[in-house]
Amino acid sequence: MKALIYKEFKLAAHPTCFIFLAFGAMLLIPNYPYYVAFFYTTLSLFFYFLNGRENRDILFTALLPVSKADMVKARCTVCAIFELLAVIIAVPFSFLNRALYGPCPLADCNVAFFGLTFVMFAIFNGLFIPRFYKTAYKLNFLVPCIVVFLFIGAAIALVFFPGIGAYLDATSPEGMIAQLPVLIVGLVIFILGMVLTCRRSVRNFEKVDL
Amino acid sequence: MELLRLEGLTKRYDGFTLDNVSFALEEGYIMGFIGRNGAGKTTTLKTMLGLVHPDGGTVQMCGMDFQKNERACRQQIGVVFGEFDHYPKKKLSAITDVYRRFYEQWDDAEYRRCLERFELDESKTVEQLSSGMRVKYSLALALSHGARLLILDEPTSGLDPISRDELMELFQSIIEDGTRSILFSTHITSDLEKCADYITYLKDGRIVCSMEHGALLESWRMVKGGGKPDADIAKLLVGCRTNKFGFDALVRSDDAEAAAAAGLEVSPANLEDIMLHLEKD
Amino acid sequence: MKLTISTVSGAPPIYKQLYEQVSAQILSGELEGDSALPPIRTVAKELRVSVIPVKQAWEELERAGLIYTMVGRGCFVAPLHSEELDTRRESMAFDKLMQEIQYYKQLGLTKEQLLEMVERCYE
Repeated sequence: MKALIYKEFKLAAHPTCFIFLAFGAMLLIPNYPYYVAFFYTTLSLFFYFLNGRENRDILFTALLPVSKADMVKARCTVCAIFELLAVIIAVPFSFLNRALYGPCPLADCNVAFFGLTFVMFAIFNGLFIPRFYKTAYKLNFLVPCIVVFLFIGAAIALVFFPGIGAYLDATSPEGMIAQLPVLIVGLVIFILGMVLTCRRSVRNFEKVDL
Repeated sequence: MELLRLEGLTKRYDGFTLDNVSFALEEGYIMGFIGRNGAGKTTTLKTMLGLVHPDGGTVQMCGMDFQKNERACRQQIGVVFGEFDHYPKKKLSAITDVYRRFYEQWDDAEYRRCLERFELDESKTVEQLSSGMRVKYSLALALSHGARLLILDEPTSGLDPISRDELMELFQSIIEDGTRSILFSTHITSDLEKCADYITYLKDGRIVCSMEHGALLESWRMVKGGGKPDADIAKLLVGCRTNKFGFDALVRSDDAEAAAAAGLEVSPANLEDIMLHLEKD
Repeated sequence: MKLTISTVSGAPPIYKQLYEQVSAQILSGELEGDSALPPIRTVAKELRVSVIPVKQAWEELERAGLIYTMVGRGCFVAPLHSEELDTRRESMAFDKLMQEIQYYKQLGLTKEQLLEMVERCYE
């Protein structure tokens, strides 16, 4: 498994997977729909799969002494690592954002924002990864992409709902501490989602004739 | 010891069936796996390697049941589909650095020896290598992890005659110590004339024969005659090709005397003759 | 040991070519008794032929009593006395001659004509 993860980083991952990690800096753009920064993370994962396909990674890996299930698990793990890293790298920029601009007219990049970002990743993973492993060849980014943007729209719209809006958009220290349940629930959805995504993908991939 | 044994391997697709394929390969020999394009050679290899799910049959590899010991089996084999065409933009050193981590018996000294022997430059990328060099790189990887069974699908199809000849020589030196075997598929029968100990011939998803190379050549004769064959001779002919002036065909060696007595010109058959006429039959 | 293999179509089977060449070299005394033959697999690799015909040729040589095998050490030329070599050489030549003579008979040559031709050949 260690060797497989090493392979994913060293051979299969697309350069944008690393470059787009720095897009956490987009949190420094004033009055921006900050979720878009993490849309780029999902885009880089699409490039990652595309790159693997173009380099005939599946056949290369399938001939190594590894199980098909481990191939999928390694890739899911690496996806999760990229997504987590994207969030972690963005955190300092969110502090800078508040220091520089104060409240944002769109959704603020606060604790709830990161919680909902994890939910967004979970949705993307669930839509994108298992479908790829149905054929281990066809990639469909369009549907996950549309759903991610619908989610972004909904998440920003939530801020303008009375009651819940004030709770989600708070940027005061107390307000953000109050948002911690959103972050925790988001993280749990992200992790559980990845486990389910991974299981579905393994099931799909086992049936594929390469 | 047998390094490979397929028993009744079967895979059904719409419009094509790999039907009950069985053959075996002892250690220390080269087996040529022949058949025209579409006969099912690649499907056979993919099915026995677990890349494609078989509908029936068993595979023994290096003395183990492949389905039950897939990972252990893979440790001991080297597989190349065509030439190495993965990660064309990566340097060989980067690919090897990843590859070696998967093998318990990786031998770095052996790898260095292979690079030197095959004149491979590790700082080149895969796409900078010629087709012949890519096959050699695959072989270097396989030999460095101590593969006992090399399975190659059409390794020679993209090579010029000189590279093909070099590769065949290399194959022979690989099996020289008697501990390794090579199974390679090809539709270029001349590759096999010199080096193959055994021939397995697949036609329309079925095994026509799997036997010792010399014995296969000895079991058939080419016959040629003018005009049209007589009815009683025609019965003996296999895959008869007629033209305006005469005909040529195969006969079983047992029938060679009868054909000669009937005035036909009888000569030894080579692999290509045998394949051409059996495909016609 | 000198070996040349012809693989043109119509050439005799490889094992036969090998058998004839090695046996001739043993019977002519070119290969000395108890000298080692190269390993089968080396011969195959060097001559660019497959392993099995070499094995067959060696087996046939052993059956003919021209070589012997020591387990783990390979094959060696059988030590034959000079009288033994002579008789074997003669019997091999005789067999070959018998086949040839049939052909000359078919051509209608007399014994005298043939002997005269042999004389001329040796000159």
